[in-house]
Amino acid sequence: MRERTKKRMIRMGWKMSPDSMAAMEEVHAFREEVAELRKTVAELKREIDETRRDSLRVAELSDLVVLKLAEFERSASAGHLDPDHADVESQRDASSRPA
Amino acid sequence: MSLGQRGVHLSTADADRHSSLSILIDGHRVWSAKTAEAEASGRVGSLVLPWPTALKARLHGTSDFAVIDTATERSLAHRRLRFGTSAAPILVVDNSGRRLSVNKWGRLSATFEGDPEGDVQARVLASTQELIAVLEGLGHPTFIVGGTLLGAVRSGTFLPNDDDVDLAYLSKHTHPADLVLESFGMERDLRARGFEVLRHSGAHLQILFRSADGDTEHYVDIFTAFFKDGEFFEPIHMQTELPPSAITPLRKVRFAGTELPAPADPAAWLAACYGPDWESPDPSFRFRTPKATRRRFYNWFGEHSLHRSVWLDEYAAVSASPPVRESAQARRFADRLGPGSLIVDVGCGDGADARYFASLGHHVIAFDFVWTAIERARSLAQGAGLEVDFRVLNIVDGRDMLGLAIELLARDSTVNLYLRHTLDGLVDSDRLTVLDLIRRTSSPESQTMLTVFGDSAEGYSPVDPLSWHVALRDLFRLALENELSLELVHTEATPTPYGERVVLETIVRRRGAGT
Repeated sequence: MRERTKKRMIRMGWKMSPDSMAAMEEVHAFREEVAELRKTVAELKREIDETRRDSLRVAELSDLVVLKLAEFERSASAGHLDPDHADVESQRDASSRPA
Repeated sequence: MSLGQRGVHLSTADADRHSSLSILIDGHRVWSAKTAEAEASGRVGSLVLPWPTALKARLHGTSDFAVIDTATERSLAHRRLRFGTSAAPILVVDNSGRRLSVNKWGRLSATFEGDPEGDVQARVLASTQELIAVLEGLGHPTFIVGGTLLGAVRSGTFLPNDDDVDLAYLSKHTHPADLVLESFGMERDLRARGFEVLRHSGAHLQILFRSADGDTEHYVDIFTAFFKDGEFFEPIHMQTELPPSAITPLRKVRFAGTELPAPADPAAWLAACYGPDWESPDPSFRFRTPKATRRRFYNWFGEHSLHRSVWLDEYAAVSASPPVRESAQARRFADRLGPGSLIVDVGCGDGADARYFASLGHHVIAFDFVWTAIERARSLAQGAGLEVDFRVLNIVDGRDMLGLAIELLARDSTVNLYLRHTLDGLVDSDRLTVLDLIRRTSSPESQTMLTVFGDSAEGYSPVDPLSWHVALRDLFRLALENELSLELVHTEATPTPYGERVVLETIVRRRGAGT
């Protein structure tokens, strides 16, 4: 019943003011497009954030790898190859500071 | 305009007439605020500027309050107010008796206004000169920025309402990863020269200077400035089209009887940072960093100090009281472990549970990012003759967490992690980091005790991690996503400053490990 009334109203609208009806349809189409674009923008923002975060991760990893390898090299060249010892030393160095 | 228990009451007409108000207690400025920030008071045409949280916590006693127009210093209202039952004067001072006021971050700090003899200012200046010389020696062209530059240009000395010195160095790098690596290197270089360095982000260091009694007396901020794609960046606020000629070549400006390096065009830097009205004094100034810039800096450089001030305040408050005993959770966890187990206490605070585990003969590594808590923990353990490996490590810093994971894996012994109300006080990304640490370091024999508040707090605030919680369904989800299994072993309702709350005690294991 409600559907039939709605359809009748729409038909009436098209008969009485086709320009307004066309404008409404256009607004509806724009609304859908805006919703789609908003979703796309949100996705792109997330991707940009993720990419930017990678820089920090790369820096942290590079720093850690270089430090650990340097410790390893030092231990190896000092003739006592003891990676456990090197790890403890590096953490001790880190732990004496405000983070 | 009037003063009351809620704050400063004003009409909309008052707000139109006065853009900024300063509040004095017994003649000392404690707070400045913009009237545009006043809230509706519930009555038509009436507004209220509520006491800021940091100041409200200090309002106990009776004193003369006054409101003045910040720009003209004309008195607008005064009243004797009593907070609580005490007739003693309200003192807003630090442990050394220095007067405090609400700073631009909404926290109480000792401003230079509270140092009329200039003793602290002289020491801050000496620290600044030393630091600039060291940084320049390391090849980093350094210059004064922020409130320090503003003070230099405006009056040739410290701004009365400022509480630190701001420095920046101009990096040659443009890629965020290179900038952060350079900052890591600078941190190490400064530590090697005896400075106490606190990292706020991948592009912001703070150098702490202590007084003879061990308290932090003053600090100097160092920001990384750089040009990228035609724009000038300087965390935590600036992303602007400043030309390189506004920064270099650096020039000297007069400051407190000496000369300090400044950007080539100080006025251009100040206008870019504070806006076109930078020349008008405004103690109520607050940074309004555009969202896009905040997002950029947060993702490029991280935020290593998120909510640390809340925890610093929390541990400063408990440091005056006698040490607390171990928790019931710690006792129940210890019952599950064999003798001589390796326990890692994540977010250990001042270490009551870590000391208890050590007293039972376990090997304990305990860490927190609040260095004052760790200093207290070390001292208490030493006093009790207990051996605990207390460390200052930051969950936000990937180097700290991966470094710890590498060390634990290299030990080749079963790692048991203990997290009592750690996860609930972390933001989502840091919760994932902790779960990653559990996953990486757990063997099938490992046990992790994870205790959280499971329900929302009365007085929940998004900026107060003590009021946060993790619902059990979220714990299950986090465990599943990180290849962990979760067993609920105990629940209880416990009274807290945030009302009675549900505590969830769980044991986390690597998926597939036996129970």
